[in-house]
Amino acid sequence: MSDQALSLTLFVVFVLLTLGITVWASRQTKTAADFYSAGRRISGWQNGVAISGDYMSAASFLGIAGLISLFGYDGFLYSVGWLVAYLTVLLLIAELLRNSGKYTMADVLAYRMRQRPVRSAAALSTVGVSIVYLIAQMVGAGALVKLLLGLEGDAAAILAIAGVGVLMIVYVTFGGMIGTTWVQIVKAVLLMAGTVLLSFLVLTKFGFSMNKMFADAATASGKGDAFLAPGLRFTSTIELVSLGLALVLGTAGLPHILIRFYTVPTAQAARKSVIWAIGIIGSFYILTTFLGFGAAALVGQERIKEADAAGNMAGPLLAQTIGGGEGSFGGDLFLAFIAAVAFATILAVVAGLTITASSSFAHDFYANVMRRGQERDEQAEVRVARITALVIGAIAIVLASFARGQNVAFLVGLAFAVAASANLPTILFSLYWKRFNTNGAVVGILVGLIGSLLLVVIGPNVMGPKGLMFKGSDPLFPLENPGIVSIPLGFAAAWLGTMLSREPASEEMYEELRVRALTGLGAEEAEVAPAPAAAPRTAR
Amino acid sequence: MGYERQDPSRSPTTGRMPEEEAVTATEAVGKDPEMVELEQRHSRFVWPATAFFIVYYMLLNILAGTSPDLMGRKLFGEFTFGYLFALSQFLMAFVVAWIYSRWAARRMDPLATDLREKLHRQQIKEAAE
Repeated sequence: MSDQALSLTLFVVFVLLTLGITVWASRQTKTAADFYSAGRRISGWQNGVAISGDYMSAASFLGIAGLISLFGYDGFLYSVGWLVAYLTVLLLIAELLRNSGKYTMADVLAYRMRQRPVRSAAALSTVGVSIVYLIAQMVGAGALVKLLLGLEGDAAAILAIAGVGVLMIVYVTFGGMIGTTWVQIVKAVLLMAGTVLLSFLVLTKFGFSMNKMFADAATASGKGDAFLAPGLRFTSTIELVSLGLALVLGTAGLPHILIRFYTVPTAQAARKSVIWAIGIIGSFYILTTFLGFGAAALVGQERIKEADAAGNMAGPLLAQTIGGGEGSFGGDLFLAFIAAVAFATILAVVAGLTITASSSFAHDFYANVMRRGQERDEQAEVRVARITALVIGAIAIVLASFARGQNVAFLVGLAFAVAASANLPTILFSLYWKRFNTNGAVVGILVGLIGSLLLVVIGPNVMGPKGLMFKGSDPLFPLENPGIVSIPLGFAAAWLGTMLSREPASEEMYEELRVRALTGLGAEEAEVAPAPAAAPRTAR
Repeated sequence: MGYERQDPSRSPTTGRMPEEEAVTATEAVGKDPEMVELEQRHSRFVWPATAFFIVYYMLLNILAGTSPDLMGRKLFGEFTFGYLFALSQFLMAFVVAWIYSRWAARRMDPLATDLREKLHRQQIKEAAE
């Protein structure tokens, strides 16, 4: 019982610490601009660290390590895709987005199109992507808390999931964007420190020889050299291409990453923050090699699968083994530390996702659609955002209890497919295609969103012998990740929807959007110039 | 504080709605030779760079599917071709990001600043008239 008591103590300390930061930050939150975008006072490097914090979720820390430990090389493909994806963000999106929007992803679309339809569609897809992403985080958190507290059974896992949900609501309700930003920064530093330490200790176990680590992992896996080559998880080229497309294009459609660019003062700061993020995230993903292959060699697949069938507990178990093994003080301590880091990781990502989805609903749907034409009530808007956070949290908790037992990296891969199908086509077209219009944006978002979700539901993970339902029949769609079909579908729908209607206003506005996006005219001076252009700033 | 200032559809510079703004901005700005130059420079860099990294990245996934034997071939000790190719993707991303940020600072930022200031003065003048 001593290990449970120890891990519990460390846990409580950490949770209190992060909540303290949140409460402190809540005192800094005065206006809507503060709540949504931290008053645009976040610097480039701070935002880069915060992006890393937002991005490196349970999928990266728990999921990839688990996939590598069970399937070897194939798991590492997730690491590669999730890093390369930042080039899409850097080259095509970050700076232009910073200059043409204010609070949410929909601002960019609303700039040249009819507000009501595009804001409604964008709010829907933001909430949709965020919920799929949240499910994965909740599954990871559930497995973690279950392991940490030595709980057995499904009821405990569901309770653990619900516990994280409640914490998340506290975070978002009190902290807003400033609180979330600081939680991301603290978490990113903790996660990097924990991962570097763990990787270093893994290397010491192999006399600093990666060769020995690979060889031992291959032997321990029972697969031999096949463990160091592709093919144990993915055998179909189409499946690999589908996953690859989703990973590399999905990041640029993730609303919670995109709105981070609104927290910086200039396009240059947005660029700088992506460069920082690429450095931090890239280093982290290279280190997943040590977590995954280290766990395969030192912990062994039997023990990993026993704790969580999908491998999600490989990293924490690796820490326990390196610290001295189960039951030893060192093992318990290190397990508790790494588990606390993982927990912080999840909590921070959950906060980032929830604030994005609730902001989008409050700003895009409530303020601009439901209360259109009425005087804007900031207090009401923030209240709606908080209620939305509650509802979204509840939905994610319920869905996550069904998705238990899936690998979290895999689940997040699905969120990426949805983001790439629903959001990326409209964002790219509105920034780069003059002819694009409201009709195309709405059709593109809806077809991409519904299409990708539907293909997951009729795919092998929900339907058929390996899935949740209709176990007797074959899945209607053969691929686990729908990217290769749903992403082109999203682009095609956005194109077709556009070609079926004309909207001269959108075409006329295109030039102005380009000028603003490329030069920062208007957008950039919003913070510097006083009236009438100034965005609201707090007095302090 | 006036909420209308936060309305993202309203131009922060002039406080006008897009419909009114479009008339002045599009006519005057869209055809500006400096703006044309800026757009050309931007698209001549970002699209080829995007095509390059997507092809290079998809090659990893395609080879993983079609040639597991090649990917599993050991080049140095236990380091397989597949693992080294995957690591090279990280290097590629770092290098592309570094080249882009240097290029943007040199070729985009001065021109963008110049143009922004010019247009800003123009807008103030128009607003005064």
